[in-house]
Amino acid sequence: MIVLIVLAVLSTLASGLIVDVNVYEDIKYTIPYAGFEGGNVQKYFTDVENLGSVACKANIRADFPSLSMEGIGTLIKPGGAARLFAYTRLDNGTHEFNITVSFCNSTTSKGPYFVDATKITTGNAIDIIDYISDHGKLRLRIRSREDDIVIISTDGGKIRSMGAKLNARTGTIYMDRPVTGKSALSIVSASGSDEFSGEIETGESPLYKKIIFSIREMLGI
Amino acid sequence: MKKLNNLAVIAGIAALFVIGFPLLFDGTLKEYEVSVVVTDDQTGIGVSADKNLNFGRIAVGSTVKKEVVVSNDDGFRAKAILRAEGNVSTSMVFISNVMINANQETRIPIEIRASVPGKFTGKLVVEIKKSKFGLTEPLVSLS
Repeated sequence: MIVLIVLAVLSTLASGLIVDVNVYEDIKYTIPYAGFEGGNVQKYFTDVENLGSVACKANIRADFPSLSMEGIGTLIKPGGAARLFAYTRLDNGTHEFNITVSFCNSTTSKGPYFVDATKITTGNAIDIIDYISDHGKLRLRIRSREDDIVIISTDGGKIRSMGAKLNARTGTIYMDRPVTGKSALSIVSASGSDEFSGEIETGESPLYKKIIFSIREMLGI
Repeated sequence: MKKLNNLAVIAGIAALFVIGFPLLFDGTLKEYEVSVVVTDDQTGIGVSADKNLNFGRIAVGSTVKKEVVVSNDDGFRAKAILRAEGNVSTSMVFISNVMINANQETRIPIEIRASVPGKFTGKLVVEIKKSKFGLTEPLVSLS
């Protein structure tokens, strides 16, 4: 009994109400959308107004694999506004899916990150449109010059778009999480007319984390 | 007679337990203002990335989600009990009881599902409960 009392007293001394509650800065909007008619390239847009007191970065995605977006990473200042686009080409018929627009407080974003443009080469059938990083997650936009399907794969398993079939001529490769170390990446068109392979690499500079992204053409090497 | 005495003792212990049980736990309340404006405009949204529960402006049929982070820096488990107040409460969806392990944090999604136009306000009340004594820590989930 004495032992129990001593334990109880010691437990009481060790205990304290050290619990904190915060509101995380990320916001996600889900917008049901059924307006896409198949047959042509269709665009969806949403106007975003910043009602808060801090700048935020915008992101947009849909639960539909071949949707391409514009406006990703857009910085919206307090009181400012931006227009975000999503577009795709679909089979005939009406397609229903959700579009998610997410925002984060830019003042708490890590970075800045950068990519090394000089290490990217283009081939005969696939162009790299642009490549940006958001919170260390790389987004790479590509365009197929031919109207074919582009298949993307990686041996690192860190790319959400792995194995994606992009029916539109443009597509975006998303990273699920920040890449650490080196990871091989290949982009292959269905016609086999072009193939790339390269490495994704992250590093630390004295002040900032940095992402160095490089693609080297394998064919002919 | 002896049986009755035993029953009385058991009843007395049970009564003491019921009365004394809340005294075994510490509690603290945090309140957050919640607001959202719901419109019929399907092409525009209003965003606030501030660390508050202002859900901005959204269209009917849309949902918007922010997260409340509850961190427990103590060596014992804690329990978070959430409830909503005001006219916004009918649109709010969240898990009302969450256990947080020692020295860990958990993110609790707070979602607004917009069904009718209007301005909605209210509060999110977060009550944190934790055992005062290490020996009663396993009972915190019952508190």
